[in-house]
Amino acid sequence: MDLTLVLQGLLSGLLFGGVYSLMAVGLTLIFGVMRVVNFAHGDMMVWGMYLAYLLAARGGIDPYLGFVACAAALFALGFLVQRGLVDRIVDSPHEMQILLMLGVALALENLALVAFGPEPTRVRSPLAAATLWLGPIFVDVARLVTFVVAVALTLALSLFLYRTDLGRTIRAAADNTYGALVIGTDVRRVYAVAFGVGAACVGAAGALVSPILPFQPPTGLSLSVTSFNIVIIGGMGSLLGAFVGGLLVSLAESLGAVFLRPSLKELLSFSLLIVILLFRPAGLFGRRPS
Amino acid sequence: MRWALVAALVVLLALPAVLSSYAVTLFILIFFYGFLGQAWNIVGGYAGQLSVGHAAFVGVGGYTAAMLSIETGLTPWLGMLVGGALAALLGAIIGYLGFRFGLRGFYFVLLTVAFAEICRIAVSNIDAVGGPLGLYITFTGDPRQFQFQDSRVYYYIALALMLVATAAAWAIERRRFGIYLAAIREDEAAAEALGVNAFKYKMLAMIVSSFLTGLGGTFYAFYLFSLQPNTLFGIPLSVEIIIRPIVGGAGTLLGPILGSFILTPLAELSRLYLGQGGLHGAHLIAYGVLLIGVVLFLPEGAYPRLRRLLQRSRPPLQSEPARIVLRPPSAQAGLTAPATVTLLEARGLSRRFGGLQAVAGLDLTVAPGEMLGLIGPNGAGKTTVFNLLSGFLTPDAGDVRFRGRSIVGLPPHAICRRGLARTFQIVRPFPRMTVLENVRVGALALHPRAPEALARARDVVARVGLGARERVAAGALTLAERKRLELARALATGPALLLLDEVMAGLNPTEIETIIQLIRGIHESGVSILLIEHNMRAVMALSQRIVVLSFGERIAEGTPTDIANHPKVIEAYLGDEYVHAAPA
Repeated sequence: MDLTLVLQGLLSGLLFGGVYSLMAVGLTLIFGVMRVVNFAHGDMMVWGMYLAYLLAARGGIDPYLGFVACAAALFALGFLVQRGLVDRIVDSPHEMQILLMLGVALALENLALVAFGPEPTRVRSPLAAATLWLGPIFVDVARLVTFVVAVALTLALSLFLYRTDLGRTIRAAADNTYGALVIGTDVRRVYAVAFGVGAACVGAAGALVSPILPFQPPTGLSLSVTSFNIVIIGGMGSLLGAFVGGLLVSLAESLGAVFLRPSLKELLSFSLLIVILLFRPAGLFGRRPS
Repeated sequence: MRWALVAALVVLLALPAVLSSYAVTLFILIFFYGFLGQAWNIVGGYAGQLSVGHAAFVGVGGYTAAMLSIETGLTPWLGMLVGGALAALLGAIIGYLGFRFGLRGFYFVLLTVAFAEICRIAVSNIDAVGGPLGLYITFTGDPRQFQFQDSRVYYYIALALMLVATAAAWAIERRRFGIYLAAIREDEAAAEALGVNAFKYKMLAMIVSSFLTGLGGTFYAFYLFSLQPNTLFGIPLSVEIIIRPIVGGAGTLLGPILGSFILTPLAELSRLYLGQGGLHGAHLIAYGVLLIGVVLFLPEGAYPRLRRLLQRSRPPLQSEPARIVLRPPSAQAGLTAPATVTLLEARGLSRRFGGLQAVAGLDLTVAPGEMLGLIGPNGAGKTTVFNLLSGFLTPDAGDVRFRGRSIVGLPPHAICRRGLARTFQIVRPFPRMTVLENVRVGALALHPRAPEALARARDVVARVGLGARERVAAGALTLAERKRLELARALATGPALLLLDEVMAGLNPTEIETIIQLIRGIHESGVSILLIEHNMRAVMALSQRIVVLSFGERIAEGTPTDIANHPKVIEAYLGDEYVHAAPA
């Protein structure tokens, strides 16, 4: 076995993992606060990618700057989805919430299909061509920058949640909605902000990954599944779990890509999902759902 | 209603004579998706288990019949059954894992999606079944090979499939099977407590549903002459399958068909007009928006709404508050207990939650015909004892013998069937069922046939004074009525021993007086009762003997008078200062 190849795989897996972490942190935040599973998560990410593409193609803005605008746009989308849709059925059975989010996912994916067509797209960035060499191993500069920005955003999000009043309010509402209501929290607003922040995370993640990963509308589904995988491995609702889980899944995927055929890799990822669902539904860092 | 359905059927049978070939194609699709929706409805609607992986069953069924036909020349008329059986096997595997491991809601959805995707990827990678390109069936026009020159034959086959699935759903709906599925959908734990083997019935629903869906795979394959893994196993097909029954009304008999008559033409037209304009995803956007709209504005689906509109002219259901008339019990209510000295005997019963010893080495006996009170301060472990006795929790140590046989480790439904029924402290009615339907679920434990169970349910409902409210949805009852409904449901199972968990909590004095009379009546009819209650006056008045629990241990036992003066009891309730300060 070629050691360089393995090291190369590990490095690019780790660097790509930053994006997975950011994506999963967004999903776990939404679930942790509202107990709603965002089935449209991957489709929101794809919209982040297409927005980055539009900014780059029409406005000449590099995705590594454009991600801020993408995050803002997705914040608005998430805020509106919560305010206009999810908020109306907070008390309905889980099945209804699942169907609602499936509906949002279908609409978003196919809006992208109608707007941008089925062909794979990739966003050009001058950084994407650059590489650094660490001895025999090369470092893809785009991946490095993506990793650094994604990790910085994840850290910024935890600072927001743990050090600001709004962040603390969000965590309070996640812990005990009723208690938060009793002490006068505007829970509806908190929910909308939390959904918005979760969507902003995945929007930024989409923009950041757009120069590295070619995408098309159906990419959303596999990204959703990957997010669910990560969040279930890390424990639904656990931020640390989502962060570590993102890195782990990405490492596993890129090692898998070294050793396995791509289809077999996908097969393993679904099998892993089933095994975790059955035997460790609380994940590595979460508590067992009651 | 019935005549309207017969007339509709006659029209559908005659229709091909006058339809254009495009219209025939459209009807074939309406019937076929109506059929798939109906098949899904059995597990996704009636049983409430949201499968988003039903495409896998279409794929397995279709590929099986096609491979058998291509490789061995076996007629798809038989291959269809083999495909259905294999699909049912896959359904049984998914169901077993999902239900045994208790995956609900989102987790069950993910499990079904994951299985479907695994099938899709696997089939795409097996060259023997065509790999990613799939299989193509050569057209011969041979009816023995499920091929017909005249597309009207497909019309009748698709119609027959839809009718078969609907007949199956109809047969399920009106039998114990269907009533149990509805109870499971509403509240699985409450259903278990009433003697419903939730695992068994969910499995059966999954197997029937996947078998029927598998049959559909053969039709799909031999109608289109081609099978691709991405279309036959893909998530888009699963969405097509579930969206029609949901729009039409999941868990109703005609909902899936109505849903297909609404959605299939819409989908086809938008595919035709928008798809040709290059807008390929347009009809799926419409599906998404429709799904959102249905969840927000029509969560029960179109059919129940339509039925209510049609029935508006009928007199409204009785809903005035009822005057409570407690009817004396009919001759034989409980099962007669075998001649044992003790009916229930718990020895050394213990249960720990993390660091908390909730129940510690408890001994408890109930004699046949006894009314025993179980009291203790909040957190003493009373409800845990009930959960241990009724099978909702398994003890860490100790044994429970009921009618001379150990019931430790038995699931709640099996314990209920042996004659030990319980109520829940926080009432758990099936909110969307009427009072009568709620009680019928319990009565089915005694009478497996639905009409007899209904008669018994009516009797019990009258007995607890809910007769005038029997057609009201349980969700619309007052707390006092819900408490009596809870009692009625448990009573309907025909128990020898009834565990009552705070049936008086939250009631006013008049309502408490009613329920005391009611419990007395039940006891006099021969049912033994174990009662948890905080209302001391009621416990003292009702119980022949009282056991006092504190921190999971029995601290006193005796007649109501003994207990009222027992220093340990006073200490447990009021603190030791009170005991020492008591006048000497």
